[in-house]
Amino acid sequence: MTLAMVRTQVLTVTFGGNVLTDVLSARGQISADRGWPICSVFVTAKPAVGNEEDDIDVVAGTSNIETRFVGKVRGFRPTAFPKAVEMTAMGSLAYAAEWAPSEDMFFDEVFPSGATDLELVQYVLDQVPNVVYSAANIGGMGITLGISAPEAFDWKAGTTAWSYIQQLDRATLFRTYQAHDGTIYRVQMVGHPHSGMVDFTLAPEDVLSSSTALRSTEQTRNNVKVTGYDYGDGMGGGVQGIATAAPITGTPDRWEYFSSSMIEDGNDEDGAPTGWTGINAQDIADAILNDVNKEFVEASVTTWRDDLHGPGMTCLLDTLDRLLIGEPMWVQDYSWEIGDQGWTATYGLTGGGLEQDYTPPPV
Amino acid sequence: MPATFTVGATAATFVATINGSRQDTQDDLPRLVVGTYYRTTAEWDTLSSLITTTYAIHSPIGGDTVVLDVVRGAGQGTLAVDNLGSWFAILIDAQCSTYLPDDQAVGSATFLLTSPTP
Repeated sequence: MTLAMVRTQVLTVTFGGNVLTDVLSARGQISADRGWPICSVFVTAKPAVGNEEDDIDVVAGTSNIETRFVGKVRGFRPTAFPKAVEMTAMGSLAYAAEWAPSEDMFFDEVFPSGATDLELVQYVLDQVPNVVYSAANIGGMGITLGISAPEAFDWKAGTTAWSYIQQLDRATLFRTYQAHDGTIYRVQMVGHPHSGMVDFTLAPEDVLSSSTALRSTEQTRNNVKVTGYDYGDGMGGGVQGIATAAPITGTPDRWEYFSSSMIEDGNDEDGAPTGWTGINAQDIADAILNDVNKEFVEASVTTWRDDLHGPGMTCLLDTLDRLLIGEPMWVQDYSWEIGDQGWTATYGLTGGGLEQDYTPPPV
Repeated sequence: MPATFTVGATAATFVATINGSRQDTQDDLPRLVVGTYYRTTAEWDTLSSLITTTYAIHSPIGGDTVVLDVVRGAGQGTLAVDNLGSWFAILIDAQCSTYLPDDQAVGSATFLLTSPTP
């Protein structure tokens, strides 16, 4: 009978091309919502070589020794006692949140024939210094945008590249994000577990006691109204899409509202198609309804496991007796920590509703 | 009783004594404290070099197995005590409390037992 699984932990940090020899601990997180990974490395003193914006990579684990983070050091945060310095680092995609054009970019001047969402995201990323991506990893709906309402896609001076990309991502239900290894992807990432085989399972023997869960209908909405671009022709505030369903028993009839001027097509206020081109408000409303017409199931699960996981994967959380959850869950964020307390990882999981058909994104 | 604790290529030999030995539990694992008699300074030096100074134990909410992360130190080895048994274990504490003539000493060694050896 095995009483303990014994693991030896490894933590190797390379900063500015040098392997650090005084690392105390490290922690990192990758979240579907933030877009880029973050990492903190704790050392006894500021490294003699290297400064902000230098490259850093972290290899860590116990049974799975993996590259956990690749990015840039953005700052040093010393603490007086006990003496230590926290090196804060981010994925290079964070630069997109710090760069904005100094003059308006008029869409129809740059793209006179319109552009797809993935072409637009690539154009925006191209403007940001020190952001490197592969075009093959930038996906999208592929619908040509900006034919009916090109001004909706103008990039205003002072609007950061990340803010512009997020507006586009919201309108298309895609997400642009940077994986732990620095690779930038844009994929369709719906907040649902996918149908078919789960990517991994967390069972009671994996789960540590600090884990928590929540089942609630407070956020449940059984109706969705999506409003798009307002052509100013009396369509009640813009093209529309409405999706409705019967309320879940016991919950009131409630509405979710979503608006983006980048949605060019949809219905008029009487529900008739307007016939414009571009993203259709009704398609978006139908997709969002799946996200909100459900019992919201959430969990924060801490584990000793050191798999290389990330947002967008589907996890079977098999903990019905403890956390009241025994169903596939969608990984919203993943964080890890290594130091004197050993290795632990925490999954932010969401679930509820119907499983969707999609391919899990790279982690 | 002759005893050895081996981690990788390093084997520490010592004599386990009845006096000072006891068993209990710590962090969900059996803990074995053995009284020790060191016949030479080298025996003490070798055993003390095999201490795991920092470790963390994770106890999942289910299952019978805990997870022990070795943070600093020698890590898991094989403990064998004649007429008592052998186990996989980590050495978490070693003391040399009384010095005797001719480089001999007595003390104690504390092991966390991680599993019986096959």
